[in-house]
Amino acid sequence: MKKVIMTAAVVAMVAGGASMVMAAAANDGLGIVGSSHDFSDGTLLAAKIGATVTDESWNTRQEICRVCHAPHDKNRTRYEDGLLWNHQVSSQTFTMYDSETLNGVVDNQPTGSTKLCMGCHDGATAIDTFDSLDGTTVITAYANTSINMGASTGHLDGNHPVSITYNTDDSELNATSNEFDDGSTIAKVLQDGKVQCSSCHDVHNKNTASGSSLLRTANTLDATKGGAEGKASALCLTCHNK
Amino acid sequence: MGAPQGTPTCTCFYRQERKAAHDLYEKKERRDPAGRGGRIFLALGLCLALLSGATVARAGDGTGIKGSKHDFTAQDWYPSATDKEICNVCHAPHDKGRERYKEGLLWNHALSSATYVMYSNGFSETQTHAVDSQPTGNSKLCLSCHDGTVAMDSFDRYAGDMEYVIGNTYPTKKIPRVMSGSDLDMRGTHPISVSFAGDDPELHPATNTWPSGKTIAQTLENGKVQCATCHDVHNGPDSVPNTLLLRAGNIPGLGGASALCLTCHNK
Repeated sequence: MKKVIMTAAVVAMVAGGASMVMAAAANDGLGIVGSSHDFSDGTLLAAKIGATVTDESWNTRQEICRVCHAPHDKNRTRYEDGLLWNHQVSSQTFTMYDSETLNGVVDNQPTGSTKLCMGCHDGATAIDTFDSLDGTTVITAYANTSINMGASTGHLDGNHPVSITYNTDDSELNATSNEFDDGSTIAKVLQDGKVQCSSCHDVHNKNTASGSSLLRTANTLDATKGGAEGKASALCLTCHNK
Repeated sequence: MGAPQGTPTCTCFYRQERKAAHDLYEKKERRDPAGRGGRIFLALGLCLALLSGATVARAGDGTGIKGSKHDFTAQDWYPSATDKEICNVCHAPHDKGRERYKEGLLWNHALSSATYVMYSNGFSETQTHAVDSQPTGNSKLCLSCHDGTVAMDSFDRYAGDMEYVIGNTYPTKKIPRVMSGSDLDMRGTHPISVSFAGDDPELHPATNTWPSGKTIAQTLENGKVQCATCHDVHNGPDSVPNTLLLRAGNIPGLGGASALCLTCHNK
């Protein structure tokens, strides 16, 4: 009998899927469900990232993956940017980071996963323009301004360089065999050998530092941000040999 | 050509829903050009149908092939007015020298001779699993209608009429994004003919189950993801009602947000 109840519980969990885990806090390293990139649950984003928009009603179908990916392109040709992309990409022209201390080659516009992230985080493209929807809500609707990477003006030069080659000959950088706390090597999180947004951020919240901005390694002593003794700037120092 | 009877409607997409509504509207208009009351009645009825999920026939509902999207006996394009079968469009119990059986499953439909661009590691380095250089297994069979290059009525002894390629008859049912049969880029579709290796931490073990209780492994073909891994093409017990013959729903009302995706993907 106990076994039957157990089985029933498991079936219910599988059937209920999302809702079971949804109670979990955002950005806890426990997966996409309930994370700040899960727009399906209607949970106040305030609980996740301090949003002022009241719900996620703009995601009318309430799927998780579809906001970014679709299994079959429907003649929108967004897939050409890879990863079965299904969200509008930014049409802004970006100012990229440049500095004479740079030892890597920076693409003249965002490439790879960065280009995809900028489809929301540029602060100009509507977050609800995806799949068949033409939206109007821009990420600036969220109180947390730190997620507006392009400052709505295409200024990526105030951010860590992205779409930049990881110069393995640079003595200021660690070997690409170095690992993040989520178990990924640097080599694994580079895309075509380049640093992109996803090099530091695990956007699917798979194994991120709990309470952090979806970081692969905590960067602080603050336990509420996934930090601990010895984790001060641990993310930065995974790559930077300082 | 009018909208074929049973054009799938609100099974998947807002766009399709809108199109179905539009098609129904047009039909009604033609029959009853001045019928304002009729239009309101129709609109109300359609709203009710969409809301209740009671779609016009042929959404996947798990009740079997008969009357499903893949039962073509009522379609205009079925080449015989009287000699109609369900299974025969895809399968035949005895090959008649056409040698389509060599692709397996007693296949009886003309196959595509197209060459496709596959979703491989060369396109996306995050796709680390082996992909066949061209579609194999049941995907190859599905593409003999769904790639838009082969007449749907080209099966068994029938030569087929290119008027009835899938893109002409069901404009939203082509896979991938084939309008004319000239664009065979599979990179806009989830990888198919791709091995589901068990040691990828981004994937759940193949022992994970669909809502029907079937394991992922049981829906792989020779260890590979094919069209039939997600789609129960015979509208069998795995097919979740009001989906595109999917083995799991993908919205909260049908089993969970992205439940289909997350059956395999460990995200």
